[in-house]
This record gives sequence, structure tokens and C-alpha cells, in this order.
Amino acid sequence: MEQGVTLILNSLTLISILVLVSLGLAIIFGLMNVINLAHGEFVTIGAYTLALTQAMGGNYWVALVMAPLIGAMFGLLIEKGMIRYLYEKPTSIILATWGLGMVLQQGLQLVFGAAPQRVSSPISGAVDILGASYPAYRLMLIGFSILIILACYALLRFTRFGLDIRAVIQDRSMASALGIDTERVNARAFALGAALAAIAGVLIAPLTVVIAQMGINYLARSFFVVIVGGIGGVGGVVAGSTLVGGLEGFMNYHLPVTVSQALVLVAAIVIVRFRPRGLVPA
Amino acid sequence: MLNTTSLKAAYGAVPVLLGVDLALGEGEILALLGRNGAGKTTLMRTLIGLLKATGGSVTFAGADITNFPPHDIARRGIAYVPQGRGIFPKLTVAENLELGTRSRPDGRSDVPAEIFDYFPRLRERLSQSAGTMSGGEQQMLAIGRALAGDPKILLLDEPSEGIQPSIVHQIGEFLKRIVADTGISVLLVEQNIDLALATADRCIVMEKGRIVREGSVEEMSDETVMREFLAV
Repeated sequence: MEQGVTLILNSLTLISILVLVSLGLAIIFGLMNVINLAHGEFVTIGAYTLALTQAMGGNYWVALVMAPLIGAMFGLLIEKGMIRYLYEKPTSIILATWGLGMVLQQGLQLVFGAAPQRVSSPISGAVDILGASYPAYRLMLIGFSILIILACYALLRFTRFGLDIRAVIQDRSMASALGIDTERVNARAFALGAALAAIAGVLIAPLTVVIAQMGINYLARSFFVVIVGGIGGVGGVVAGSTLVGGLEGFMNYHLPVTVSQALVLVAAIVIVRFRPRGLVPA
Repeated sequence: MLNTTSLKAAYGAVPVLLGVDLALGEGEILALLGRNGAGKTTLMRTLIGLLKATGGSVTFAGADITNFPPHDIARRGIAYVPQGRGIFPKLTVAENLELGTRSRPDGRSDVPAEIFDYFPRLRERLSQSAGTMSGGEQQMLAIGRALAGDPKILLLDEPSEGIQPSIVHQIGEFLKRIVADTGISVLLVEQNIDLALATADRCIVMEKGRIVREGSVEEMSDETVMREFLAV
């Protein structure tokens, strides 16, 4: 019983992390068809925001508010300065964002050094759940990711910007012929995706090692999540994360990590073979 | 209202419009006829800005709008209903209509009530996914959505395509009523000659990327003219 509860909560933590990292990617990939290999670095930027804030004596919550703003700013800068010239050239975008990712990694390492950054979580201790004692911060992470899922859903479903995004995903030409400035939608959506990744960075940071290369760990798996789950919607991200995170969480318990990750990859390939548009196509 | 001067456009390296001169007057329904491949749809796409002109110019209400981005042209008051209707199938009828208001100069996003006077069907289906409606209903939605932006010009590409004959007739009636009520101008591309002749004030015929004939509906109704330019 106790073990079972811990296992489920561990899986939920992993799923939450995947959801947080993948939401921004799903918006950027789904909307603009942009394969952004620098997405992991947006997560890193969020984590470093936390490290820097705490190093300067600020607290966790300040960083949680600052990170999305800094992420959005970076996103906007990158979209305006680079991505928007490359929409017609998908391969160039892959190369350019890959290069950008390396520049960001090395830049962070130059400024902050190669040693892991110190970060601390805002709450410590454990909570008893059905006889299992579980770290309170992880429960907070799960709670936050549920909140962010709901907020993203509401944003896409009920706001003017959300409707514009959904229209552009379905038919870009028609959306522009109706008077929607699709370039502006692109820029804002890119900023939003980066902001979400930066929030994810803050939330994940206390559970991981904060180094300049940390983003790479999340990049491949978040593409998995988006492709398996279905491109372009919040539902797809949740489904993909649940599958990838759930499988990995349960198998990690019985198998070596590398084996379970390989099996998840096999499962993803099988699913995409039979459902090429993902579990929950938008 | 809307004029083009030796307008040229191409798909890649293939020239399609070879110099189109066209004048659409205020409150006029102008039918654009011609065989498949004459360049009618290309002309429409160039007018709304989805295809870049490679030469010539487009002026609207006195301003040169050649190669303006589509959203800018739409906000100036030109609405476009493409061939195949261009509705967003996964969005609801209400959402489709709301997107039609994005081109309103006043920035409002509520759908004008007149739309539902013209198309009461749409009111009953507001929460339905647009893709689940019949072809005729989708066409009404596409026209209603275009009108929601309060345009001065409506570009309508093959509204009768894939629609039951009874509804085709209705669409012609709607168009005449809308023009009478609002004074907008319509450029109507139509393969269904009966619909075009029953609706339009004036006709132009396109062939191989040029306007080759222009005339009143009566002149166009003449058998020999029809056979010469339009015969299948």
C-alpha cells in the first residue's frame, strides 16, 4: 500500500514535470511548426533565474514571478531576431535553434561557472498520504502543474488570443484573410511558450541539478510527449505526459533507467505507427 | 471602389495572371466568369493579399494596397470567402463568426445581429462544431462570417460548389438582399452560370489570365457569347 502510493506519486511528479516542460513546446511546435531545439534552454533560464534570485537574497516566489517574464522576453527577442526570418525554412530553424541552444548553454557556463547552482525549495518536510510519507515540495509541484494546465486550457479556450491561436493552427491563410495579424500571433505564442518553459525551470530546479546543460534532459522527452500526445492542444500534452511519464515512472521501479527509457521510446514508436496524429489530435 | 491595373501574379515560376484590369463599383455585384484554369481563384487570392502580385497594382477606395499583408487588406474592408468556404471545422459556429469580427475597424468582437436575420439557421447552431454542418450551412456561415467584419467589398469564390441546387438559389437571393441592405460590392466567381446571371449586375470573362470580355447580364446571356467563352 505504502509503496503503491509512493509509486503513483512519483509517477505523478514525473508526469507533472513533463507537462510543464511540454506545454510551451506544444504551443510553439503546434502553432508554428517550429522545431525549437533551444526549448530546453528556456527551462534552464528559468532554473537560473531561481538560482540568481536566491543568491541575491530574494525568495523562491519572487523567482516564480520573474522567470516567466524573463522567459517571455527571451522568447520575443529570439522570435523577432531570428525565428521569423526562417518560417519558410524548417531545416534552417532546426540548425539555428540548435546553435542558439549551445550559445545559451556556454553563455550561462561562462557567466555562472560549471559548478551546479545552489537552489532551495520554498517548503520542506513531508506530508502523510495514505500511510506514505511524501515530500511536500513534490506535492506542490503536482498542484502547480494542474493549475498551469487549467490556466493554459482557459487561455486557449476562452480568450481572444486563444481563439486566434486555434484559428491560426487550423488554417493560417484563412486566419490572416479574416484580419488576424498572424506574425503577431506567432511572436506572442513563442513568448508564451518560452514563459511556460521558464516557469517549469523554477519548479523543477529544486528537484534536479541546476547546470547549464540541464535543458537537454527535457528536450527529447518533451518532443516525445508532444508527438505521442498530439500536436497543438493542452489535452494532447496531458495525454502524452501521462503515457510517457506514467510508463517511465512504473518501469523505473522494476528496471534500470536506461532500459525503461528505451521501452518508452519503443512504446512511442508503436503508438505513432497506429495513431500518427497522436493520442488526442487537436 | 476596387480597381486593378495590369495586375500580374504567378504560382512559383508559372505566370497565371498576365495583366488584369478590373473595376468594381460601389454597390455592384460583378460576376467573374471563365473556364477552369483561367485564373479566377488566383485573382481572388491576389486581391486579398494571400498571393503576392508580381506586377501591376490594386487600389481600394483610392489607396494603393498592392502586396499589403492579408490582415491589413481585410481590416480595410475587403472580406474573402474562398473556394471550399474556408471555415474552421473544429471551431464552433460562434467562434467562426467571432473570428469574422477581427477585421472590424472598431475592434469590437460581438457578432452583429443582422447576420442572424440573414441566416437564422446559424443562431440555432452556435455551439455546434462548424465541420459537422451541411455544405449549404457552411456556406452561409462563411458568408455570415465575412459580413461580421462589416466589409465594403465581398470576394466570393464559387459559393455554389458542392451545394444542393435549392440552396444555391437561396444564396443568390441572400446576396441580392445583402447588397440592397448594406450597399457593399461583391465580386462573384461562379461556375454556375445561372446563379451568376441571376445575381450579377455586370459580368466579366477571364481567359488565360486576362479579362477578355465585359458586358451586361443580357449580353452574356446570349447563346453564342456563352458558347465562345464558357462552353465546357
